[in-house]
Amino acid sequence: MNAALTPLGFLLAAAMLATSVALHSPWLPTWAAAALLGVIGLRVVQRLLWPVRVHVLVRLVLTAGIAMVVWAQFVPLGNRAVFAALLAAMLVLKLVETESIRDARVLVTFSCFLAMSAMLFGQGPVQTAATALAVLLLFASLAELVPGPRGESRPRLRATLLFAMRLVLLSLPFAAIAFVAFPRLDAPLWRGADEVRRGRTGMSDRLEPGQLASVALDDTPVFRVTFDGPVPQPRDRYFRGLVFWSFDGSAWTGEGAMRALPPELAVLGPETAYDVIIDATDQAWVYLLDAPTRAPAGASIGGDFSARFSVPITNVTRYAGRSATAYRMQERLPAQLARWALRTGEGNPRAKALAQSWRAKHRANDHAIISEALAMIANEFTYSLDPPLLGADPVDDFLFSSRIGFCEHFASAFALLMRAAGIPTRVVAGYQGGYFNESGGHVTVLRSDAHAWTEVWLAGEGWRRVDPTAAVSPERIERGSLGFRGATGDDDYFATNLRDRWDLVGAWWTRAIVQFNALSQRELFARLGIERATWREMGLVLVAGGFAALALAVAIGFRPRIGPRDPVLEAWRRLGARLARAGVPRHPSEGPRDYADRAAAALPAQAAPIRALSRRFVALRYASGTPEAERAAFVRDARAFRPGRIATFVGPGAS
Amino acid sequence: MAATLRTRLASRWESLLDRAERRLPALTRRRAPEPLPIDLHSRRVYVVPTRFGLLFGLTLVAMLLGALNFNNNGALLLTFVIAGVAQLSLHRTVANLRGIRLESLQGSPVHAGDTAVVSLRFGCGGTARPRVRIVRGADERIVDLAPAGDAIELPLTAERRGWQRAGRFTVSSVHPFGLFHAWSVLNPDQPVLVYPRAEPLAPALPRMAANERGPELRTEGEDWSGLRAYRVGDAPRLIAWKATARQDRLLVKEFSDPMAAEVTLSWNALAHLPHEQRISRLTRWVLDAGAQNLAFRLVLPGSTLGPARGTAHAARCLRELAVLP
Repeated sequence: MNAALTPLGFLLAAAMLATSVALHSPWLPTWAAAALLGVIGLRVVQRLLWPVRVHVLVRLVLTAGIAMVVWAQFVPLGNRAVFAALLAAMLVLKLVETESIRDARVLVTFSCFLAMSAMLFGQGPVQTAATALAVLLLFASLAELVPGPRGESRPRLRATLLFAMRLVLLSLPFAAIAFVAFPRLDAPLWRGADEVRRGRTGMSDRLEPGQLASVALDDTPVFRVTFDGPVPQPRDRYFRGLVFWSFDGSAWTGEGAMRALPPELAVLGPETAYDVIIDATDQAWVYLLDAPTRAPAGASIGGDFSARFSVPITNVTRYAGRSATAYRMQERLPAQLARWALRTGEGNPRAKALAQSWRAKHRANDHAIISEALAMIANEFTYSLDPPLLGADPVDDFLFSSRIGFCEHFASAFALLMRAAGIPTRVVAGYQGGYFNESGGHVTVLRSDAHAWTEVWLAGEGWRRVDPTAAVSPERIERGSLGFRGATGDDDYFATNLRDRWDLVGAWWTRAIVQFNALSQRELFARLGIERATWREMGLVLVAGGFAALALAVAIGFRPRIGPRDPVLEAWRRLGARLARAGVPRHPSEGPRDYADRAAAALPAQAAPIRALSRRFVALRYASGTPEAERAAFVRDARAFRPGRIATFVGPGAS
Repeated sequence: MAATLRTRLASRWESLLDRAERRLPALTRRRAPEPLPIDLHSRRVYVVPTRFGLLFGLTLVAMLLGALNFNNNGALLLTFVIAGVAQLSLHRTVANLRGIRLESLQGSPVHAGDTAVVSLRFGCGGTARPRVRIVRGADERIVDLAPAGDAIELPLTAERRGWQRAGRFTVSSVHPFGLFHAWSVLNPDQPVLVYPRAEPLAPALPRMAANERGPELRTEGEDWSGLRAYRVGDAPRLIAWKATARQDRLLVKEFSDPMAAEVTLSWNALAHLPHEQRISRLTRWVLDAGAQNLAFRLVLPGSTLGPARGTAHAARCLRELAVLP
């Protein structure tokens, strides 16, 4: 295959690569994605305008640069990121030197691999559809990379894309059967030693007011909860994730410090059971409602009632939870723990002084101190997702000058005030609210539902949740982040409905496709009557079903067309269909001339063009050796002809 | 010892080939010539993955393993979509060749040593056949065959005079994605005539030595002997237009030219030359006589052609020369 690479083939291959790189853009740093796409764009422009081989020095410099960048920027992000970034970079380099069909084929094949690896970072319906687009481009470019007759130059982009789409659609039955019947692994063959140090949900083991702002407007679902009983009100839906103990004056850390202690809980009311399907977070934290009473399989609950899996959630996972909403948590607080929960860190002298003045004022009445603080927050503060940056004493700065912020600011400031006033306090991060999808009957929790609140320890009551954000912005707590931002409301039925539907698609996709595993496969086979399906039986179903699906596709897709397609005849047929809609259907026995006469009589305003078109059709159809230009002109005019359009507006008297 | 082993291996190989040929006639390179038309039915279209197809398959396996290992169902689904399309492309590749029919094969007249153009007429059964590759020896051509069929011209180097077969050639296709290579070997039993090589530096026509009179000197009316029906190859200036106008067929004036009758190209007169050179010189003379539109007679062992003039006569003479033993 030493045939030349056509410009269209090159363009499609470049488009394929660009799509695959773009698929990684959700997690790639913006500059990296922009740089890769930029090099692709430059190369395309260069090859189209100035088709020469790129100098070897340029390629060497690019290679070295990319290797250094990947080493410096992606190694901290874990193996998967390094692999994907390296592959993307190498393929962009490959595009720079691609000049032959062979190179282009290798390029698109590995681009397909790159596109697939993007699914490891997320496999939602949108991501999958976008990857399917890459698959389409893969086959379109492969079709264009088959050497054709020499000197051929007609553009076939549309036909090529349609052809690829047709084959992709035809392969869907086979894909569906293979998907269902292909034996799944019960345990992975190898585990990516992925030390993920950066979460995808914006949750971090360090809480510093200002950090959650970036995810506050991200409405990607994190998990969906289906409750066994009645669905709790939004204001009661606190999903606990991380518990912070240490405060250094500006940031909260020390998550998990008290995990080793046994959980102590006195349940006072009925428990709630629920089922969670969580997207990959690359983190081990388990989000459970309020006070969990039983750890999900594979997870453990610590003394601070935060739960963790033993490995990070790198794939969509399902877990069952059980929680109490009326309880007393850890009624006896060990002295060492109390000391820890009272540390106030450095700086913020004014906040500490204020808290101490409250203590002096209310004496031993902890409740009064809490009320005083909440009242202050409710009266003098504003909730905003876009607060100003804070200075060296962030809490002082927040409490006495900016007075504007969101959950982190309030939780952090409130916790410091409480600690300074001598009340043991900890900060809890997780999700709050979510929105209830009525059609699906589940609660969908979005990234923008991320929340931080506090727990204070009161003698005789144990740890009690206090959410200062609820004081300043009850809306946020009552209606969830979407409702708070006005994204939902009873007045906007259509938008709500649409979002419900879309959320339902996401939920269905997760349950039916993403969650399908060895277990659900066995259940499905059992429902089909094959109990305890062995690999052999599954293989049999796979082979038989796969062959049937392919045979069906071949039968539908490769039906021989009777006779060559004639565009002139086609245009005439469509013209007839339009005339039929205008009220003059063609009789089967009627020739073109008789039909035109009858149509002209029925539509007098259009008589002249109808007759002219029929004359031209007869000439083109039954005379031999008509020039191609004339045929094309007829097809164009016949397509442009509309029987109803002019007849309505142009009367017999109009000029 | 080693020699006997080699002989035994060779005979074993031969018998294997024989068996393979009985089973898969078009696969081996020994298929006997077959008469036209040749239909490419599914039994004689073979298909294997290309090297790129193998690489593609390996990538698919890697994607499959990755998707299974990370239990990534989205990726698994798309991997199956790709596998399905690849599998469908296999059918497409075979279907692109199946139903092609080699309808005719025509060669333009050529002299030994020159390159003939062999025109292969393919019927397509009403379906377009994109990217069909036709390979014969070192010559290859990639064509898009139209639904109504197409004629493809291939060069054929003629080495010997006489009837010659176009030989074995391969029709193949990697359409649509280059993942699979389908092919069929054709060996049509349709010979092409190759005229003998014309001697480059031959003496002038024997008649020329006696009388330096060309046909252009002859005037109309001289030795006019009558009218006869037009035959393909007659010079247009000989057509009797007035007489033709009265009848409904073309008539040609005929001259009885006593001088022309003297042009006799005789095999026996060249007895001093070697066999092939005799043929070669006669070929040259026939060509010259034809070019000058002389009436001539060709005397060959066992037959005499002419006297007559025109390209038809010349072609007949050339054919006779070509098939001489």
